Amino acid sequence: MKFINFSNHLVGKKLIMAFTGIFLFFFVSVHLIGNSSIFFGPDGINAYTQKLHSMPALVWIFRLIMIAFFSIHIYFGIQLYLENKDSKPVPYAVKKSLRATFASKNMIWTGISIAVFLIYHLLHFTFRVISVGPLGVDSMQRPDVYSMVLAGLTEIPSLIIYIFGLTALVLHLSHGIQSLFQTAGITTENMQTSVIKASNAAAVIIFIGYLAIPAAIIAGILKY
Amino acid sequence: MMNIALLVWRQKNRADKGRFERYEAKDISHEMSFLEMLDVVNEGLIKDGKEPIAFDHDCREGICGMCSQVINGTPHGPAERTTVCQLHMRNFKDGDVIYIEPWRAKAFPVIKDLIVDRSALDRIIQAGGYISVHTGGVPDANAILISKPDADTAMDAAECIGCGACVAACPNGSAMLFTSAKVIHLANLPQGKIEAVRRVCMMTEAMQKEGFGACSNHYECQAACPKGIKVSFISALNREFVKAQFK
Amino acid sequence: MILDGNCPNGLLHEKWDIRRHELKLVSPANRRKFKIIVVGTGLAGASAAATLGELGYNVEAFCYQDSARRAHSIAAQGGINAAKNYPNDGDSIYHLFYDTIKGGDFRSREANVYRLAMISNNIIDQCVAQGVPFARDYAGYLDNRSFGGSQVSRTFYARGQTGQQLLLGAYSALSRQVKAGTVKLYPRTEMLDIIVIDGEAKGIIVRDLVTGEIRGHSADSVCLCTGGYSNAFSLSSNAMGSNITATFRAYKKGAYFANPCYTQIHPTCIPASGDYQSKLTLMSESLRNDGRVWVPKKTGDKRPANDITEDERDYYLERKYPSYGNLAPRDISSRAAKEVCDEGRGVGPGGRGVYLDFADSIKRLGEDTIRQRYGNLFEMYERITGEDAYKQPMRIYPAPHYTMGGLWVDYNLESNIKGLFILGEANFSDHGANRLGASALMQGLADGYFVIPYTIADYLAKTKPGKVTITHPEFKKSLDETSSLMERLLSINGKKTVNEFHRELGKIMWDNVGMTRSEASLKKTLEEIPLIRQEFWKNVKVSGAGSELNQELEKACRVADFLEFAELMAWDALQRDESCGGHFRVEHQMPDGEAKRNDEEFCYVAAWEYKGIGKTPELHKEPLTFESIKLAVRSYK
Repeated sequence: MKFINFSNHLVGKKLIMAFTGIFLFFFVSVHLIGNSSIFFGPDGINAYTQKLHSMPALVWIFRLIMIAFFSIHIYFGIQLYLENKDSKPVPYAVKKSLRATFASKNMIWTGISIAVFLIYHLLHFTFRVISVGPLGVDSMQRPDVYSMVLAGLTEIPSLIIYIFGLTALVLHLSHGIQSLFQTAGITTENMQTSVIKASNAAAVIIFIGYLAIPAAIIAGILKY
Repeated sequence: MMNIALLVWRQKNRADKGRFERYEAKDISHEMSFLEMLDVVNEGLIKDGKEPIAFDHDCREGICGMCSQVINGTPHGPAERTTVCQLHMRNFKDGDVIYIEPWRAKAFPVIKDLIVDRSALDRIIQAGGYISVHTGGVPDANAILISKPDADTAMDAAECIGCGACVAACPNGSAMLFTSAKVIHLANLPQGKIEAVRRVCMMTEAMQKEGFGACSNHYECQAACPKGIKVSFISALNREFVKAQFK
Repeated sequence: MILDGNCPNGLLHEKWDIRRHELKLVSPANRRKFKIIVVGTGLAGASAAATLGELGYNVEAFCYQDSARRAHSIAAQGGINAAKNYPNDGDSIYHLFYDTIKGGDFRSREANVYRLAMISNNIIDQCVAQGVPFARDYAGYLDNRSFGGSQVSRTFYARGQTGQQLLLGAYSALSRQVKAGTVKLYPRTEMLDIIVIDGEAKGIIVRDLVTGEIRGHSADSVCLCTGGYSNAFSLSSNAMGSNITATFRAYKKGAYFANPCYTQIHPTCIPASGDYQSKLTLMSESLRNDGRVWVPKKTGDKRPANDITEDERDYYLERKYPSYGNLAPRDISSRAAKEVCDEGRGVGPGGRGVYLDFADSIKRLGEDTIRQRYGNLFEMYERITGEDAYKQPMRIYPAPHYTMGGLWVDYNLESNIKGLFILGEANFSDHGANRLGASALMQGLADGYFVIPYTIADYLAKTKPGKVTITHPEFKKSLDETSSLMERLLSINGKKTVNEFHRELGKIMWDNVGMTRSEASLKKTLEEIPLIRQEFWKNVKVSGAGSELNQELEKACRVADFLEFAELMAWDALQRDESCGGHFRVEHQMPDGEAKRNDEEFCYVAAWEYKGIGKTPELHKEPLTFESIKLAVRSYK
């Protein structure tokens, strides 16, 4: 660009947040669809996992992209948080929030919570160094993800961590989705209310979708 | 008539640390404006040999943008789309305790009591908030046709009075609403489109240099704006900014 | 002494061209060597500073507000006149000229007014090019509305905020020059004195309102664009900070003050609600396009407006002035309102108010149309009074609003002090004894964009740049005087606040030198003002110190000047033993109560020369000669 240094420009940074945010949201959605195959029993999710494992190159490319996007999103997120905090050095003795929400004001904290949860989640189900043991195989010699998830999500501590992570996610998304529309300049005046509503709805759908798995396990719908 | 307690931010100068001081405003009429109530308090302070509260004000009809006070945590006080000077005491009741603070933002250093330095907003405009036209040598006014919707949108944006309430309300001390109002006012007019790319880049960059934060889409600004400038202008600014990257 | 307005010879419509041909030019390479001081950043000041900066002069612009964008021009609501004749309703430059000069009750300079009417068209072009969002019709063309004192639609407007939008246009042009480095802005800086050396204006003394520092600025020429003096009445529609100081100090240094008694009382302000009232809020006169003015026929009728039936109402403007009706000029409307209130038919608290009723227009056009036209004014009215004007009529009452008088200038806008130019409301030139609506914006911008760039060049071309620096002894002398004035004010430490003195002065002025004046009331004023002034200098209490931001000290300086200046207003009103425009002497009225001019004796500009505090100033006359028009009775019936 002729006039500005994009990644050091406050609107530029926000656009980077929005752009990476879209992909992260996209990932969260695809991951949910993938996970939902658990409702088809071991034949669903185990087959899905086997399919993924049969394309290691693709999976790794995808993982690297995700790592890159996560890192960029986190890096600029923290930078913006610090800069914005610096722009308001003295707080008000009394301050009323007029339109700002709990979600909008706590993006940094819900974001960090998601990052922490993500690490736990990877250690839990991907690297399996926490609680769940090595991944077995099912009767059809597929990786038995089904049993692993059932084992992993029936433990109370990990269940609490998952609910905590999902709560952070729903808050982060409810503000993040509508925010990216605004930052990318898509929202018009007429669209604004709908965008906010749709954003909240999408976040809640993701929340319910993910929560449905442990709920189904506890309710005994999904069992060994 | 009512009696009200005020907790007012007093700060001798830029270097002073500042503190709240309590004043009693007695026999206040509902018909008074908020600033007239402060006038009455100040008259009392002067007669008691104390220093009156310094606050910015000028036109007292809600258009010059000079007045700037955060009243009970809301810039310009509790009435919607109203500057402090147009805020009337009928919005308060007997026995109320009112906190009065100056605009708070890194880009708005306090000069004295409730008076802050808002020259940063002027410098944002100086960075490109204009159409580079010379005096004279312009076409006939009706040679530039502007559709009514475009003219109306431009006017909506141009209503900004530059008071800085958006910055005061923003948790990030961002001036995006102010900047976007000028960018969109001019970008909506054919004669302003020519410099649109340059303008949006220069103005947002100037805003950053002045120490204003980025927009986190809290929309506090719109709620605090006495002229109802809408956050859709911020979205439109972002759109202009994205467009600028491809030009 | 007989003053000469220095108008060019020739036919009326050729005069400005002739003058422009006569005026000397400054070459582009030489312009940056000249420093010009512009005081005030309203329409006149901002447009002048921007244009002069753009031409390459080295400009320093000063304003007491925290930003140049906040000057009180911003408060003008209704619109700006121009003779574009876009609606094809018979308008022309000549019509605008004639309306303006007739509106001014034939007390303005013909050549100036004609130039103003000519330039009006350029202003609209300029403002549109700057991006001023004037109202448009659906085809994308500019929209016009009609305004008081005119039978054509020639007023361009930007919602109810025309002044703001025009000022933001000028401010953006100014900002561009600040960026370009040709204009240096000094906000929160107030001019306290002018430096005159060998009869030429060569600098000013200012006080930095933040640090309290008093310092000099030298220049090759000085432009004062500091607005009017309505705040002499204490309660007016002017901004709290609007003051006479800059022009009054120039007057004290020898500049003539012309027609100070010509003050305009605006008919449509929101009535005062109590003693604490700090200012009056004006509602655009454009409201009179769709509102009907009335009071009850019966005196002391306290019923709510909506309970008073049609035949119990007196639509007095429509009754008295059938052809102009509710659009009768400001002075006439204001006086008519005072009359009905004096008769005891006023409405609202204190009986000082008349109704402005939109019920008929709402019925005819629908509430939406009215909302579209005046929505922000109705909102403002509700904020202040707590009443909904869609449901019940507004209450309005006249308030001091604009001052036609100002420092005397010749056709080139140059005062009798060489190199001192006065622009906009601060000069006296174009509005005569009364200003028509939507003409102030026109004049401010005409002076700043299109007159001063030509005329100041002529002065500069005849002088050497940088003749005077701040080391000149005059600066030292004036700095010392200004500092000791501040110290004196701070040291009195009396019992009464500055506001109390201001209110006291304002009441005397409003009662005696306000809408109606008489020999007795004026003589009484001339006796009373010196007493208040004496008390002020003995008993005023100004808190704080001079070396800091001190709003009380700022106010005290301004009120001190008003206390001297008010006397000049009364002197002028007393000597002008006739009624004309905004100046109404009860001794001189037609049988029906209209103003009665005396062209034989008073067809002149009264320019006053300062002779010392409390001393009778010396009157100089500039005879007004009319080559192109005949003086007529200003009738709006």
